[in-house]
Amino acid sequence: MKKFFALFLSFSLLFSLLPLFGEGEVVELKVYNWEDYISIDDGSGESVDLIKKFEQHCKEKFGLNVKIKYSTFGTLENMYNELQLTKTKAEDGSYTYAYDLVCPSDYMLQKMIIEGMVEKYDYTIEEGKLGHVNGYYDNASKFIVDLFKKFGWQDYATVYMWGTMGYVYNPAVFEKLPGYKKGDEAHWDFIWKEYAKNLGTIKDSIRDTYALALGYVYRDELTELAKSYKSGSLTKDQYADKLVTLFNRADEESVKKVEEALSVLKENIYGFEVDSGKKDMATGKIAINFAWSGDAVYTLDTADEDENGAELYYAVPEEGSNIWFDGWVMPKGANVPLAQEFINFLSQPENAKANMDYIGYTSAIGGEEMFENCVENYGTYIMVECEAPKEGEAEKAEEKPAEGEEKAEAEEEEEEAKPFLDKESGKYYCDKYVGELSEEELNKFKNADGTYNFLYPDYDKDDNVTGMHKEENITLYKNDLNYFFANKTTAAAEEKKDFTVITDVIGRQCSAQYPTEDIVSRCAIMKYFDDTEMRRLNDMWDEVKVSSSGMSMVIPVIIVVLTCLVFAIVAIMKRR
Amino acid sequence: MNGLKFSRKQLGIPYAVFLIAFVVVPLLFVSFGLAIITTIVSLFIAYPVAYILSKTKFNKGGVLLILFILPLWINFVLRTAAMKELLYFVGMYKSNSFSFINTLIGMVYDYLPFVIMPLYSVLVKIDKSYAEASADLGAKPVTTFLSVTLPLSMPGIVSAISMVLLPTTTSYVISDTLGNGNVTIVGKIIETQFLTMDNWHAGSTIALVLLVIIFLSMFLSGKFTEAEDESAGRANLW
Repeated sequence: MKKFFALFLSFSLLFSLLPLFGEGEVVELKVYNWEDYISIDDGSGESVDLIKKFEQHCKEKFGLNVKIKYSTFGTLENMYNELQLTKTKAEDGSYTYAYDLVCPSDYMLQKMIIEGMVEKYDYTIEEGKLGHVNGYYDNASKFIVDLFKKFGWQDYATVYMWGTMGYVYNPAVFEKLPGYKKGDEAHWDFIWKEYAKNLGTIKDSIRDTYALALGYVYRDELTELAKSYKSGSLTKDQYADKLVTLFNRADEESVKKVEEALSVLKENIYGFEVDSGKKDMATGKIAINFAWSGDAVYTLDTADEDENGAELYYAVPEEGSNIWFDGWVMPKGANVPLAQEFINFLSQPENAKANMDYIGYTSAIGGEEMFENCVENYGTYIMVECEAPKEGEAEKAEEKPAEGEEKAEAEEEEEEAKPFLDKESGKYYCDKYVGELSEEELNKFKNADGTYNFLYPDYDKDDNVTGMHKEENITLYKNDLNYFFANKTTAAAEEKKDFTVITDVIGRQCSAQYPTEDIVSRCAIMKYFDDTEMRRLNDMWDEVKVSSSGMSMVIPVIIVVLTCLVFAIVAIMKRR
Repeated sequence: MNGLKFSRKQLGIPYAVFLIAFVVVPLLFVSFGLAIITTIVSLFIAYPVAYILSKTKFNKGGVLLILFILPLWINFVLRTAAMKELLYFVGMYKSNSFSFINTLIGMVYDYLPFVIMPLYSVLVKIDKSYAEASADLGAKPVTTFLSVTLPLSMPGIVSAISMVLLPTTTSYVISDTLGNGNVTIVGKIIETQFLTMDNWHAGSTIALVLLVIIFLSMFLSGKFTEAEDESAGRANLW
């Protein structure tokens, strides 16, 4: 037996030597992120595996063998506990954590900063060296960077994804209901309304539901604030500060009011959910879901892909709402340059785009390239008459003196712009973004009342035009997104560009992913509550959850069973 | 519950007392009520099933029995999710006051095999000659069942109860999925205290209370099996 054991041990030792025969030193980067929160290869051939791409990037640019050890968490508290359990104490009493890069959300990020768990960003690393993090600051939206500077978090964190909170709803259901007025969905009391009985779900998590109830409880105060901001008696900063304090109230009185509001709401909703809300919305089981904007985009997409799926919309309450973000922080003891390089890498527009396409959340990266992506996804494309393709054009393109990749790109463009032949009229049509058309061209489609009649293209899976259909009385909206996309670099490099998406629908994916400046100015950041406040909230939450609807049914049964039990015991004792 | 709205400050009581009085006790009422109803309903369904299965006439080669055990090989989370779709189809989600009933249906469905198995293994071992003797002495089939078969199968019933009562008290996945989060049982609160509220002390306190109750019920079920006729033998779980 001993021999076998010795043999086994020596073999296991041998295995541990294996890495030595590998290709030099391997540096590990331990990333701890939310579940489903990075683009990976899902086998469809369209998504990019960013983890592999980063390893490749490091090898090519710095000659480093990097291996990303990627793990995920489901709740922030889980992540926090995991960090606390795996930390090691150094000789000088400071702690080192087992991860290099973690992606907590707003209040947890603040908690980690306050508790001194995170490493400062090293902005002194020169350009071209590993960990020169300016890729983030060059590309990230000025709006996001400023927001972080305002709260003093830029030394510790960079933003990965951000968004708002609001209601996903199904207008088709509500239009039939008596009492529903259009526009109700953009108010906090929407889910409390009587006609919404048994139609909505809220999150089964204290922080989000607390924010929802706070918005409801203080909706009048919020409306007043918004009024005085519009009338000019409050400046933008004052208004923002007031919103932040209001949405982070946790005093006894507020908690009590919230508890009352929630116990009313509990009877009015379909249920609490953690993750099932997205699916239930898409399949039509429910018609309102209080959600984060990223989940809203996902829900809307799922419903669109489903043939029987409803046309869902997203609305941020007009009184004001929450703005949330997930940021990268480096826990103490992290490999700072490598972690920063990873952030730098993720901040490149092409990678941010891949991420956004895959997970549906809004990246913090702004700028022109991201805007083009936004236009491509959400701008209104219509069919416009164009010239018939000249024969032999393809050969012409080949003759052009183009090199390697450029040539391929040119060819690709040629293919995309291939006009579509309408067999009935014998005319050729091309799909074009409305924003590219001149005023005169657009006027051709205009009706007397200012609406438009458009021919819309039909696409197949590969984005080739396969046909077109006519729709009348379309209204065009201009979604002004200058506040987000116009960041430092683009403003300096060129003349000022206008980042306005022209779209024919408001309230769908576009609005969820990129809220307008007006909406964002009404949104406040969620702050970290200290222990007493948190405990107050938790007690309130316990009581709300415990006051179960099953109570009245259960008590008689328990009494009957207990009496039976007592009789049985007495009978058994007597028999002895 | 809604009538009792004191804040902890007003009462001036320690946190643990507050937790037990206002959170744990009401929760235990709901959880145990749910568990007891589940157990009773499953026993009423499972006993006839086990009785029929124990007759070799119906259950040739144990095929029928396997059919009852088969669903256990699928993960119960999946079974619960499927049950939700089924209940939705039937129209059990028209109002959130059905949440409790839905949870109950799910619990009975998920734990039925655990009741059938111990009952079956006891019933199958009962000597046929007891029933024949009872009939010879002039007892009607009902009397035979009540005074011969039922007492002999008591160990099976007790072990079935102990297999269902305590797990259902805490199996919050079912109440979460089928009750849409409207039914909160004690397991769920322990989970939230640990995972989302980051309050391990409160979670442990509630878990401790539960542990005491488990010991108590172990003691009680031990008493029951002792009191029963030892000759029938203790029911093996499987």
